[in-house]
Amino acid sequence: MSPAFERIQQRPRSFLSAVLAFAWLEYRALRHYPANLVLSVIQGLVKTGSWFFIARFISGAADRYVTQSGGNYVSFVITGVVFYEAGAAALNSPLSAISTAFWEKRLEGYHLTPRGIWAYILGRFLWQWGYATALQATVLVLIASLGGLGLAFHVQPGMALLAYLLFVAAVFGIGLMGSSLFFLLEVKQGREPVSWLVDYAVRITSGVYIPVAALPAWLRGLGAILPHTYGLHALRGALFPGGAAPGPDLAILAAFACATLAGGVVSVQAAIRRAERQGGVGVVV
Amino acid sequence: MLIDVKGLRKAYGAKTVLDGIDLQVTEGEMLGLLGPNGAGKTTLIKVLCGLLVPDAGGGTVLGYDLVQRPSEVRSRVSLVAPTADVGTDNNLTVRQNLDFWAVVYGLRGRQRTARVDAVLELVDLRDAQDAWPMHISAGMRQRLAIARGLLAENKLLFLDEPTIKLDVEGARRIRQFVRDVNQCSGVTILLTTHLMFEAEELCRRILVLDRGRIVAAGTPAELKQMVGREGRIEAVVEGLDPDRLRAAGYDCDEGGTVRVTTRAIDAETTRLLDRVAELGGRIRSLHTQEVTLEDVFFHLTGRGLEA
Repeated sequence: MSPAFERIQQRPRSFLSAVLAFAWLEYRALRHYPANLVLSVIQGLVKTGSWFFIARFISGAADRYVTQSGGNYVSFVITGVVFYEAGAAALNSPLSAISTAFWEKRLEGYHLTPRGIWAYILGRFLWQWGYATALQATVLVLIASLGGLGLAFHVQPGMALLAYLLFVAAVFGIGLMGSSLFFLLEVKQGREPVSWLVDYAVRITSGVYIPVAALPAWLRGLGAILPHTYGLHALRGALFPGGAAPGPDLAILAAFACATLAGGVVSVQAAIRRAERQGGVGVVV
Repeated sequence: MLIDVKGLRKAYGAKTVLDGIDLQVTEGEMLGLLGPNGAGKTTLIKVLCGLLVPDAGGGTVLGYDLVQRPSEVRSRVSLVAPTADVGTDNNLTVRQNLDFWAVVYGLRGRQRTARVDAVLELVDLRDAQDAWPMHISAGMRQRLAIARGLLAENKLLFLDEPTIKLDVEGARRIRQFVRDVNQCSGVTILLTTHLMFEAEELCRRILVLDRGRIVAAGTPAELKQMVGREGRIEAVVEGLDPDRLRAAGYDCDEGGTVRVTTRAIDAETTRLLDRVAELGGRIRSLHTQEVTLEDVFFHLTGRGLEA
């Protein structure tokens, strides 16, 4: 039997298995505490449900700003909240992975396995994003099937899926860059500044709750540098009748995904290398 | 040579933790790193594992450059950390924990099952394979941690204080197990400890580390010789006139207490017992005091190991 590193190098599928094993570890934790599952479903429903009622309350005045996205203001807000939440899981997952393993003193152990930290970050992302997607999809289907959106969907499945995957990849890349600050800036507690800033900027400028057309020009400029803006626009275009064609947004999203993922990988590698020069990936310096 | 490093230095801020460490370890060896808390043992192990980049110096571990290719080193060594709970997931049973790590190490299908079975057998945890880690003893959790380190079949195993926090029996089993792994599986082991008897019992060669420097290296016997003094035998003899004992060449007081200083405690004790019996006396009490590694450490540093 060959040693571990040769096995991983010889069979890329082994790396994928390691990623899935880390995702399975997260699933086991949830299965061990099923009350957490029930609570998170309720929290998801309450959060999106409350935005549903707020959107209905102001929908008349706001409908004129959402014509470019197709649908109405209620559908605009519900899809905004649902995809924002799914994106937030991708944005926050890398830092939460590194931080959790660091404080539970597991990160060094993972670092000692072939590509261990990457398998761990990806596995945890896969679980958290997959879980958030399933949860938000359930909420969306539930509200839509009860007629809460007040319109019929006109879904372009391929476009919607592509837009969603590119959007998540771009956001995950930003999350990776932010997570590198755990070691680069020694942000050991609370949120790191990159995802924190992006999170707040997105809520205001990317068309989560407020249509981009209703924003002043300088805020639209800020939204233009965030992948969320293009992701939400493309997704709505691929879901609702009358929405803009998602093609141009997809191209921009692809560019964002390439840039942020590359930046994320480089910055996490730099962060790990810095930690190795200081006290190691498992020690507070 | 599995480990060949020279001039390793590492500092945390202004504090120098490793100060010019030279070290060579050959295949199959069990080497002990002995030193008090804060001597730099864990830092040295982390550097040798590729988890820490040294500030100066370098060398190779398993043939890979420690500074240029630390990831190659990391992937080919196993480290068991001081606390058994590190890396053990409490939401998984003993077997599931090993299954999980086996997948991470790239084992699949029947190969994985066979390896997990073999390791469970080796660490004597087969009966506890379906137990939750929180429900087994600290010694069993430590064996689980070592089992995890053995899954990958790496040639080099680092054990950082493997018996710390264990009771006497748990520690004894771990020592036995470590010896078996080294002797039967041929795994090269580098073990840190601040327990002299543990280093002496397990290791053929010991490095004494103090304040980031190797202050002595050698076999336990060689280290003891460095102290430059001898062990002592003290026996209270009955039924014999002290003069007869003195005539036989022993230092004996009027109360019949014989005192011998020697470098060969065992041989000299046997000789004394035989001689007293020949002369028709008998030993009422016998006390021997050997030179210990604690004495060695005190001799070298002027401080005790627990300091």
